[in-house]
Amino acid sequence: MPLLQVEHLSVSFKQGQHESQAVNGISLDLEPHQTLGVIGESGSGKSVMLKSLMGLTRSPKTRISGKINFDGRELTGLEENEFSSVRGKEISMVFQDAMTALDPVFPVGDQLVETIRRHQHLSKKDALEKAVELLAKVGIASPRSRLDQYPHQMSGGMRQRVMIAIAIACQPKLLLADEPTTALDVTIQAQVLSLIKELQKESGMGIIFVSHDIGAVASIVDEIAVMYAGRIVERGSVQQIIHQPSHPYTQALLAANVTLGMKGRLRAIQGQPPRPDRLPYGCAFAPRCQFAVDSCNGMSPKLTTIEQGHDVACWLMEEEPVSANMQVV
Amino acid sequence: MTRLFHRFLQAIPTLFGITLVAFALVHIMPGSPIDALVPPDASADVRAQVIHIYGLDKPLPVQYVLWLTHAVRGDFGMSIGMRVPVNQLLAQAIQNTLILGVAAAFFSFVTGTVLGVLAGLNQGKWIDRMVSTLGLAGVSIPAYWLAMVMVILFSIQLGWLPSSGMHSQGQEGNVLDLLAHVVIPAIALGFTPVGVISRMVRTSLLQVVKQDFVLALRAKGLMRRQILWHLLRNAALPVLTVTGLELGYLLGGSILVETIFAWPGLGGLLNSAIGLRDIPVIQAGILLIGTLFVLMNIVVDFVNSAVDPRIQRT
Amino acid sequence: MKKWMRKSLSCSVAATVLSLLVVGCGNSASTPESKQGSGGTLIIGATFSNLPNMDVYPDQGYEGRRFVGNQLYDPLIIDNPNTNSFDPGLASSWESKDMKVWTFHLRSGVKFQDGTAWNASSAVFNLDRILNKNFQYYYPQVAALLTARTKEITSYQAIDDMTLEITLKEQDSFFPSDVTQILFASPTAIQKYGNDDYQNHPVGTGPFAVAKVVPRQELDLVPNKDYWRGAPKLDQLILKPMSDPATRYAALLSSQINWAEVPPTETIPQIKQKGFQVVTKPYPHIWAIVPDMSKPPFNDKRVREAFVRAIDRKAMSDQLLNGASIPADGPMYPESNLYPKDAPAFDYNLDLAKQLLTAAGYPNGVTIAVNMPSSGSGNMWPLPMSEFIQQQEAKIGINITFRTYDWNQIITQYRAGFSGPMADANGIAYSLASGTLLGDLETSFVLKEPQGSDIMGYDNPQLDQLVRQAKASTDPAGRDKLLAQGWGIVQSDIALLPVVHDLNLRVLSPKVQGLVTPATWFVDLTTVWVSK
Ligand SMILES: Nc1ncnc2c1ncn2[C@@H]1O[C@H](COP(=O)(O)OP(=O)(O)OP(=O)(O)O)[C@@H](O)[C@H]1O
Ligand SMILES: [Mg+2]
Repeated sequence: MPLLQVEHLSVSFKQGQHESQAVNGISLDLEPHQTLGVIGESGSGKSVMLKSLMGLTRSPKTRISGKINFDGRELTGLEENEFSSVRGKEISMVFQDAMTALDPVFPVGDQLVETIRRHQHLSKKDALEKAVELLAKVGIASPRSRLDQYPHQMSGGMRQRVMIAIAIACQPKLLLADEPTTALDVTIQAQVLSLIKELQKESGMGIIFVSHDIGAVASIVDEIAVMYAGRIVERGSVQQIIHQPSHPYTQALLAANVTLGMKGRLRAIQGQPPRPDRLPYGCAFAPRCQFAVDSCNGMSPKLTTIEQGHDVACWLMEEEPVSANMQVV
Repeated sequence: MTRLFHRFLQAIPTLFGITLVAFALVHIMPGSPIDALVPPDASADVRAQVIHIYGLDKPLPVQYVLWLTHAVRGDFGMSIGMRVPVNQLLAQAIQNTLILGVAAAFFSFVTGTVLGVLAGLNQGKWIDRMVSTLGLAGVSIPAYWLAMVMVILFSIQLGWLPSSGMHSQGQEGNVLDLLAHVVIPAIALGFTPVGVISRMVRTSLLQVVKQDFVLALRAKGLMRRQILWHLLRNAALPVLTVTGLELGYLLGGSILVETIFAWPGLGGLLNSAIGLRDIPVIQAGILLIGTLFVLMNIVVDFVNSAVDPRIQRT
Repeated sequence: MKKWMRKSLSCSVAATVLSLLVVGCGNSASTPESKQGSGGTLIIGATFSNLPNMDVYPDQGYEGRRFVGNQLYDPLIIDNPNTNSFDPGLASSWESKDMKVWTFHLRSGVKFQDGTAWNASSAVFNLDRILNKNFQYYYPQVAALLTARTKEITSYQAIDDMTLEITLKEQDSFFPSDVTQILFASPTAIQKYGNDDYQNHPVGTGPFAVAKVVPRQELDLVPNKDYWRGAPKLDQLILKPMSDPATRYAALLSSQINWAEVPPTETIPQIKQKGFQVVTKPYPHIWAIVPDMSKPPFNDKRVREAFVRAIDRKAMSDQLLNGASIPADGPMYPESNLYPKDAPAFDYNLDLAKQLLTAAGYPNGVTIAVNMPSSGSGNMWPLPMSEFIQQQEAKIGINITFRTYDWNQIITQYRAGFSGPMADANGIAYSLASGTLLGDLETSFVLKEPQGSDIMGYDNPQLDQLVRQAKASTDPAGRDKLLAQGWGIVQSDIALLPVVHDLNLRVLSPKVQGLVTPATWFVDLTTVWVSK
């Protein structure tokens, strides 16, 4: 049985007259131990998807549909207080920038302890001991002396480790990492990635790892899902996505990534992604796609399996693989 | 600790400046204290005698140095108008003003914070609109008017609270009696800042709510109450700064409120001292208020750095 | 100035609101009038902003003298508050053949409240304290305050144990008036505490003694059981400084005090309705505009008359001030024995006013500036009053710019006259206690600064002559007649632009009994008691 099973998850935000379709019918599975990488341009809905998995987008102005089955439980119908006891305990999240994701006016020790004590019945003293352990575990030297430090007194890498320590404090079954390394420089990025990988090895948690950057995720994920305008447009193993990118968007992403190097922000693809409140009828990528044909504007293509474990949503795939035409560079 | 010491050292030139200003002000003011003391038809030698008694016949720089050397020893001389040691007058007055000021500050801080939080957490809803209306009222309703309405309601109609003064007959030193007397003046005085503080709390809170860490707090599974505590701690800095500034307003506003409620504070004392050109009282009063402001700044600074660790502690 | 104005404005707004809200909960107005009784605690909300100094010359103006000076001490001659005449005080009689050497026969059997005997030597001690620079207890601070009353004295001596003789520079039949202002303290107490500290331990012969002082808040007095005029009926007398009229009103209504000086006028109807005693009575007072007669337009008497006739002073008294004043035609109030009955009155008459103004050469009107106090002792309610005057004068074409100043500033301006800081003003709104002292006519209309306060540039040789005569007169009745004549001259010359006479408004709880409504600024509290 998979750890997480998402079916047709859609999230839209009401904004006055308009409705922003940030996530548009996503389905995905995740096994324990498995790491799913999610990549896509800015605005493609990656963060909204992650937040929705934790029930953090719920509000009177949001419309959410679909199913989220987590560890045998349906999460979508949970009351807020039930949900909050899942958060941080069974599902945790690591954010992009620890500088802004940590409360600037509390010592990091307090921020760890409050998480621990929220979900586990520990005395303050025991929780503190546990915090020290956790800091040690994420590779922070002389952890005890760090407890009283404030986020601004730490380096970027160290803050991110604290963030991770908070996320794993209650041994979650699922870790949602939203671009956890983007704000870090390259060497630190690598350290943090390997830390996450190690922690996974130990605990066997499932991970969804969101990134702009295929290069960054390639080393630690098992599978990659490519998102565009709220949909998954291609999904497959790392090998399949990197070596046989089948969606024109994936191909363009990879090309952009190579051109810009590892650090590039993804703006190198011609044109703009569609505004989520004005999604085109048909394939959302069609307006920017150099291979677009008439049928692309007709209906939106469904994810179809093109080989074992490799799905693509593109009308071109319906006829023949086009990979040969799309050699890049 | 060393920082505190530093701040005090830094304050010395400021205080020195204040002594100069205090001294200069009273001598620039039109009118002489002698006019209040000696009728115009008094003989010249009586006038000269009185001038001599108060040392007003010496050259100004000498008067200043004399005053300063006494002042640093804590001796501010005798009130010309009341013929009582200035120290004694000011000590009583400042104590009374502080009682009123602290009560008003407490009222406006607590009320402002509660209202601001309610408004901030219910942005755009009726409660938010109500709070902003109230805030506007606080700024536009004169303290005098509010004072009178409360007096009518709580003193005259309901008879719950006294309408003026600091104590009932024979009840000096009874804290409960004092509290009953301070309620209406403190609200009248503290009502204006309520609006300012609640708006500050609201704005500050709305700014904090937008920040990433609030989402992160929710992602950790924290409960509403715990999150609110984080929000408040983060919103506190600008609020405390504003409250600090408002304390200054309270000191200024207390003159009017003290008059309305016959509250024997610094405002009334200085007001009548200015009327009488009572130089020693005015000088010492200005110095005292200046010193209070300097102290208040230091305190606000310290509270700020206690609340926000990002402010450098050296 | 702005600030003061706003304060007073919001004050009247608040008071109006106040009176509206209080309507409807009044109990019926009936004052149980019993002649006999005693005891109780009288709590007075006075207009001063601080408790007066308790030496023999209290500060805080006449209010300080009224409620502290006169309660602790006695003068040789008492200015009887109920009859506006002289009564024997610490002197049981006095006489002077030439109005220059005055003999006072001291009252026997009187003791200061510390037991010190009242006699000629204690009288001389007190005079030495304010007049003899070589005296050990000479006190320039008090001496200075009393110079206006003592400047004519050249010498004094004890003739015998109970006789005091005072010699003046020249003849002065007004001297008894001055004597009413000189109070006597216990020499023992002054010797014991020293001049500076004495004010904290005052001892006099007066009807009350200090029991407790709560600085700036409350002065508790207890009756002098051995008071030579008979012990006061009260058990206790408490004075509270309340400088704001609405504060006094609220304190009265919430029973914190049972005697309120000058409440806001707009509250008078409600006060009456609630059953409080509203006490008014004429006393020597004039609220006037003091004109600068040395320059146009007020150098022309026709303009002054036009100005006075344009103000409907009856409407002002009855409607604007709810009966707290009476219309004035001149500086002397009608109930005084110095009132000039034959002097011309200047009834409200717009047509005549307009004609006079045209005749004076202002057919198109004139614009003038008047300085005025924002509040202050005896100034009544300057803001609404000045607005009223402004509207009325506009009807005949006199456009007034009123400029508001703090009361102390106005006093300073007044002393400097129209050549000083108010050189650009045509007048100053001022209240005078005209007729309190016999010398007032001379001080206000004959003597220029610094001896007097004739700042108008007013000169009338006939008046000067009359005053000289009155001053030298050895017959009190003749003196008063001459003075009344003098006041008449001032009135017909319109040396002051008269507006209204204050009626000394005060409000008492229905429980306060026995008050004989005073005919002067001062008040006798010995007859008062408070029923349970
Ligand atoms: N609370 C919200 N209300 C309205 N629109 C929102 C909200 N949150 C996100 N969106 C919109 O949804 C879309 C998807 O946003 P999301 O943050 O998921 O993108 P992303 O893929 O994470 O981008 P990035 O790589 O920049 O983080 C965006 O157009 C964004 O403006
Ligand atoms: Mg994102």
